[in-house]
Amino acid sequence: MEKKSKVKSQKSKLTEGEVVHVANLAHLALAPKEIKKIRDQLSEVLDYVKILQQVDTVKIVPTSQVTGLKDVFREDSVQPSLSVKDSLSESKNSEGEKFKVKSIFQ
Amino acid sequence: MKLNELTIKEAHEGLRQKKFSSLELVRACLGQIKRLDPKINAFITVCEREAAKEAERADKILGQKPTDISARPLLGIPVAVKDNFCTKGLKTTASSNVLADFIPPYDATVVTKIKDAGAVILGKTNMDAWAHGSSTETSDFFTTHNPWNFNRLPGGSSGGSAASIAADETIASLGSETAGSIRQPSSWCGTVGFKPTYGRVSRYGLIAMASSLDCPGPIAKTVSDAAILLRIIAGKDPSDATTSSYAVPNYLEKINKGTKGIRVGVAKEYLAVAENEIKEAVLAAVKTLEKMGAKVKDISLVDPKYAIAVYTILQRSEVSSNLARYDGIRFGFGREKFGQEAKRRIMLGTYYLSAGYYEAYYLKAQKMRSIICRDFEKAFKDVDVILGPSAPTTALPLGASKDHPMFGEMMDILFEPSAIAGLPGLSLTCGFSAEGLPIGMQILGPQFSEELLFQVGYAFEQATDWHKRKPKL
Amino acid sequence: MRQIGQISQIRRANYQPIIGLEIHIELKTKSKMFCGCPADHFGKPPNTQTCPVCLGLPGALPVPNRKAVEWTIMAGLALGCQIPGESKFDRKNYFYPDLPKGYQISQYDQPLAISGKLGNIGICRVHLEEDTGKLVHVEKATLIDFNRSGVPLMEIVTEPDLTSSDEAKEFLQNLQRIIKYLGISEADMEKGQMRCEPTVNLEIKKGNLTVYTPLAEIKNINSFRFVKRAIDFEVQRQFEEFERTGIEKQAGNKVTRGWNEQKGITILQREKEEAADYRYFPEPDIPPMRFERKNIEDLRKKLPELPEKRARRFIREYGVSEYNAAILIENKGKADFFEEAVSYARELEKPPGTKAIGDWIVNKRVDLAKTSPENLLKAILAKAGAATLDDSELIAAITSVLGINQKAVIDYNNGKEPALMFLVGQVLRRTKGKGDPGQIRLLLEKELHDDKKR
Repeated sequence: MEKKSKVKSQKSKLTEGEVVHVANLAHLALAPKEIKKIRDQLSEVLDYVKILQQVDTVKIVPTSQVTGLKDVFREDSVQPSLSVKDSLSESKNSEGEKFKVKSIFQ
Repeated sequence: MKLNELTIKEAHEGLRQKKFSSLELVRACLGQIKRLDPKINAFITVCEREAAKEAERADKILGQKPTDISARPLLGIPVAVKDNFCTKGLKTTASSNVLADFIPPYDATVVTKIKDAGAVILGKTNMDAWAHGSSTETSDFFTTHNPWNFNRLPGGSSGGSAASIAADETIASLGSETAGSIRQPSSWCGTVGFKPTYGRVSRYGLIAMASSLDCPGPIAKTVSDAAILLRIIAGKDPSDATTSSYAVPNYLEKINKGTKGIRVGVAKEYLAVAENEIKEAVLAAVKTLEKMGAKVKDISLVDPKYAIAVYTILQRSEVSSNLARYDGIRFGFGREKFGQEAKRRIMLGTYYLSAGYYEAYYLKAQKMRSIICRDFEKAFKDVDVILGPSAPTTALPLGASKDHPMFGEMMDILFEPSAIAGLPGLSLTCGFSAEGLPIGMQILGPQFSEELLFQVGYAFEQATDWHKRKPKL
Repeated sequence: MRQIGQISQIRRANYQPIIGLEIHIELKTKSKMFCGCPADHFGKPPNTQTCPVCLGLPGALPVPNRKAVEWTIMAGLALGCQIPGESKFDRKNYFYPDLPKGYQISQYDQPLAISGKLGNIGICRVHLEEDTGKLVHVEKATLIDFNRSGVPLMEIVTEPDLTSSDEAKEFLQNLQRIIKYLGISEADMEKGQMRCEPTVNLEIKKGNLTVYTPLAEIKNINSFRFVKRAIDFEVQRQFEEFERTGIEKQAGNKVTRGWNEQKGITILQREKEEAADYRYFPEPDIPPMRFERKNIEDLRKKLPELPEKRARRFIREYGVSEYNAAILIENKGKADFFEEAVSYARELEKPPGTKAIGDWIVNKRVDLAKTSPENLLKAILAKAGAATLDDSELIAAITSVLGINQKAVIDYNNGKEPALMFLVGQVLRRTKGKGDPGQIRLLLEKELHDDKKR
């Protein structure tokens, strides 16, 4: 797999900047107090997983799925959809049978 | 014996022989819930009215068509369902504030299957929010208490289901496991918990935690009950592309074949992790099996500490992606309602997958996964099943999991390797601690060896009385 | 910073546009990519074609549509691609209200098809993914319709081999025609069934210096005409900007610009983040796919004759002119109609020439929806002028040629098609070039066939 960005290795401590960046990627809003706390907690976990670096995996093929299944498909046939009522039933904000959110800038 | 204390097998027999009605059975469970659940808090939702109505419907069928009861093995029998299985028209929350008012417009496949088998849905049980935990303490709503000692945790994430079984608030229950979430609370609550082979049971409608690991499974009072439940919920599902096409056997057929000649492996690496009391109970169990004809062998497995790292990375990565759909637009509340644990896991998973770190974390973990799979394959050439402790401790006190970012992973150390490899595992009680808390052992097998695991578990259960003990409630 | 002197030097430079295209095509399967909701969403009342899967409800799981996969492979084959033996789906993670799961199931590093060519233009890859919902912006809010969410979307990425807006337009028209021949999409740009995002930059040469302007990806184009206009505008804009600023292409300075139809310009779009980090990883809910050579060859056999090849065959076999051939193959329906008419002609005693049939369809601008091949022939015959060659002369020539070319007759009967063309040539020699080659061929075929029967 080609990754265009530089390949980095495991690290133990995240900077606050990195915490904020990851929170943005994950669409999570963190209060300033939370950032510091979460930074320590995340770093603790990162520290633990470093033990994997002890294991030589250069020649190992990764396992993405344990089932060994291949080629599972559905045939191209139409099945019943939800009613529009059911589709919208759990939404807290809708208008004219459409879901509604605050304006998004293009 | 009170009706709510029956097993599925006994209840089914009793209903068939018209010794009691389904309504009486359901009412007995509801009565127990009313009496005990204010202290135990196993349930988020109790379907008092609907359950009674379903029971009456079942009784009508039982009165008219006696043959129906064998075709529908759960007819009239109350089942508690973990609150991460979508139930149509019935609130489903995954114990999270994000889904506090979510009412799914559809049933999970396993729910459809138990309904088709005649089950009466008793209610939805408490769990760690999003299944992120091994205590049920990180539920966004409330903590479930261990029926054996209310100051102790029931384990998690299927703590509500396990507690409801241990307290005889229900006859049967459904849980789910990613790595330990069925087996660990079963161990702490003294119940039987079965995690099937990954892909044996459909995940359609199970609120996803880690897609490549999640397994729905039964938590029950006896090994036979677990076998009955698994047979009902297992099987290929066209709505879940990762389910297996292997036929589902009748798990009861060979369940009493005994353990003669079965090669049982005991891994020293697993024993080393457990507290002394647990180690002793497990070794005693091994002796019991040996006396019944099993061939015991010492084996060596990869140190499970590596599995913790693998599991941590894979699970959090998949979690970060699976929880991206919770944006409050089509259902539920917004992402600001996520609890601390969920936020931590999403953040870590996002980090592990992020640009530049994929190779170091996710890919590395997948490679270690290959090593773990191969390690088991090698072991199962010499043994038929592997026996070991379930949880490394007995039930811990309330509050033990607070602010401990890797609590779950540490508790589940002995479940993670088999979970990562997609293997099935049966947990059942093999003793009690000096404090009177249940001690669990687990039996692992290769993929799709469920029949064998039930066979060994049943033999052990029949030779011992641990499963008959009940908490003083 | 460039000096004033250098800028005036650049004014005298040569520049060449470098254009690559990213094209999305909605497949016209019956059902969506990962669920059974109807895929045909145009004009349907909002949110009436959704289910837990395409709405991204908790617990829902995707199961891929076999037909969509087969059609994508066929498109790849039609574009001369290789089909790797293994492929899979991946998750592309990002947040946007029209993306219900918070990730799009797409293909990252193992697409269904790679390394093809259409004309002179390299095709980098063809892959399969799912479409998003549709957003409508109203005052202070955005409304979302998920009918389109989950519709199968084929993505074709070209190499940056295009060098002009005209070339891009022609490429797209060719591609559209092929897609429609395959019958896998209506590919109507106005309906959004075919979408194109050109990426444009310039190569500027000045003496020994060769520099490149930053890449710009242009979105929001919905017709072939606007593709040309947008590229033309962007090329001009980039040249002028480079003259002004001298900013060269660098890693990370690619921009996205939106085409504004009313003003006829591209506008820099507000960037929410820098280069998006999609955190691709293999889709755990869908097993990977493996294709044996046999499967691929079976799909290749299902390919219809593609437009270019068909045009050449019309020229070769029916004597149709190059110009007319291009018109006859414009769409598969027209080409099929023409060949059906030729088929009918074969049954007639005095068939009009195939070239004549082609001419008729093209010159008379026949509305093929309003007539049938049979009726068309009747019309031609009714209006047929005198043949330049007497019928009896033609028959005599044919009989004679068949008589003295026994070897060719035997060859033809043994399945050697070129023998027929040889015989046609011989007849034309005898008639000193007079006569419709297509008609001669038909008559010969008839004779040979009747002969064989006797």
